[in-house]
Amino acid sequence: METKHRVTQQSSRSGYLPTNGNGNGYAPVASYDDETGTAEEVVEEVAGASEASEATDYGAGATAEATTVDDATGHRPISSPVSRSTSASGENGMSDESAAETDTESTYESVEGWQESQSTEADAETEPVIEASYADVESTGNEEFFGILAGILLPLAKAVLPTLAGAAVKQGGKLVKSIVRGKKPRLSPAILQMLRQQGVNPLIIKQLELGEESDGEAMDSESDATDETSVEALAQQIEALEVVIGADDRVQVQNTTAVPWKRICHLRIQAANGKLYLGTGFFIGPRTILTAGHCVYIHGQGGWPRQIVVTPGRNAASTPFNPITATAFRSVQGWVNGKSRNYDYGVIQLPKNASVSPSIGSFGFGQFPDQFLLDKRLNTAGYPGDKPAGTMWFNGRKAKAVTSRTITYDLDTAGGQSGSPVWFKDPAGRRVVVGIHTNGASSGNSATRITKPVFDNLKKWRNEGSSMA
Amino acid sequence: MGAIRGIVRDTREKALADVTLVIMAGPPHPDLGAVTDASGKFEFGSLQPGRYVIKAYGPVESDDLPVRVQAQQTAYVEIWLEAALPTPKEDFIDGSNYVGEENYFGEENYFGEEGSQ
Repeated sequence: METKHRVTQQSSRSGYLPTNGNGNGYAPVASYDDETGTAEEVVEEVAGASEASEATDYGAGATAEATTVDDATGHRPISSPVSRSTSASGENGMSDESAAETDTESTYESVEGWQESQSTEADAETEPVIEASYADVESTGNEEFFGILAGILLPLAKAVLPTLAGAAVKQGGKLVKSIVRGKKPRLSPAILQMLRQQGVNPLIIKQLELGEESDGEAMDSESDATDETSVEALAQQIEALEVVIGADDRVQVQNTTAVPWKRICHLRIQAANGKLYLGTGFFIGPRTILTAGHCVYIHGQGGWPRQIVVTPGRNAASTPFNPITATAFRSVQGWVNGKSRNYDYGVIQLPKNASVSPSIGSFGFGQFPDQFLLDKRLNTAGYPGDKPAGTMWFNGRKAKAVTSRTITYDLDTAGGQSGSPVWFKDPAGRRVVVGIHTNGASSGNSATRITKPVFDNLKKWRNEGSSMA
Repeated sequence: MGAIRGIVRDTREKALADVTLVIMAGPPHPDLGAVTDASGKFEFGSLQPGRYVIKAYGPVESDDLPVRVQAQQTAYVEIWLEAALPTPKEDFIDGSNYVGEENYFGEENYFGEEGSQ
């Protein structure tokens, strides 16, 4: 296999298209304090029994965004122009069908091939990181495009630091043929010292030193020409990528017709401007698919999509349930107008005339205190674009951090998993979604957290879908 | 914010549709997968400035493709995917359990037809 690519930079047409949707004028919802309340209370809330209204604190810990959105308007629902009537009908939502699941594991999903040991956080952060990375070094490459920095560091960059390779490519030329070198990494003591000064993990430095010693060759004289800026970039990249260069511990879900997998949907999104995207969603009601806000309102691509094809439980070419084309979407002002990551959630309402199997059921969902979330093992599954087309992949791990509106974790995800459920399993075996996966990042992937305002909107939308069933 | 736009072709310059593009690393970004349209084009919009690594998944996978996104700039990426040639079948055969093909039998290893007269 051979790849060529060329990268150029040009000024973009800046700005975003105006919102196409119109607000429905819901009043601001009740606020809450997520540090209070017992697990039992919130479990009750999942079933719609608790409606406690408590104090709020949304200011701290919010993920930075250029646009500031206050909560009074941020969670105000907004619909796509083609939406139907949004009259909600009381509290006649679906029961939590997952409660009927017979899986005996109390807090963790059971997937063929998944090992509990894979879920330990230490996996991604301990020493074998370097060994695993070096194992990827390919052999025998003849193409040389790079400047001095690349000549020295590229073998390492190819194996450990994909983004550093980017810097090397830009130094070297426009047209790039596959970037492969066979030699072991060799770094001069001067470079290693600079990396130390940059605060790179000592374990990584040690590995680099060992790599040099085992090579047994003198350093190329040109290596000394490496400037501090380049080394600083290398240091930053090493630190940034530490969490993602561990083993890929995702497991493919083979039986996508079982609970809960059949409730997870492959999304093929056609934006308003015709561009195509992949995402994931999941049932929270008979006709309501919860997903990321950026799946139902794509900034810069015309806003509300032209259509989304929803395929529950897709497994490669197999579609155990009918794919359904949807054109009615919901999100909130904070995402549509404010473009704030903290409000990145929305739903797809399946058409009334679409045949949706009632056997699919839906996920429960709820809002929980910080420590409760940190203590739970979280699960996610969706349709990553780096795996065979249309295959579902699962991963589980504890959360790394929570803010008032987000959950950050080292769950392995990839493009296409936007909108995946992030859930835990309670002792009764019920799956309860606590977040909607939205963002990838080298520093940690993250979900929009289900807070009280989010919870209230989801209930409204679920009931809206139920009323059309 | 910036963006990455691009086009995916095969090595005969034919646009490739339905190739999935994934951001493999970079600053926080929406975890959407981009898919090439009939003209082979794709786009990642609303990206924070920074160094990204994208990868194409079509008939074959691309290498990791580093792209730097700058504020209010669009990085244009052209990708050519070349299908891997089929691996040549090995002709070597271990002789220990193999009797080679023969086209002619000499006298020393030929037994003539026999039958009762």
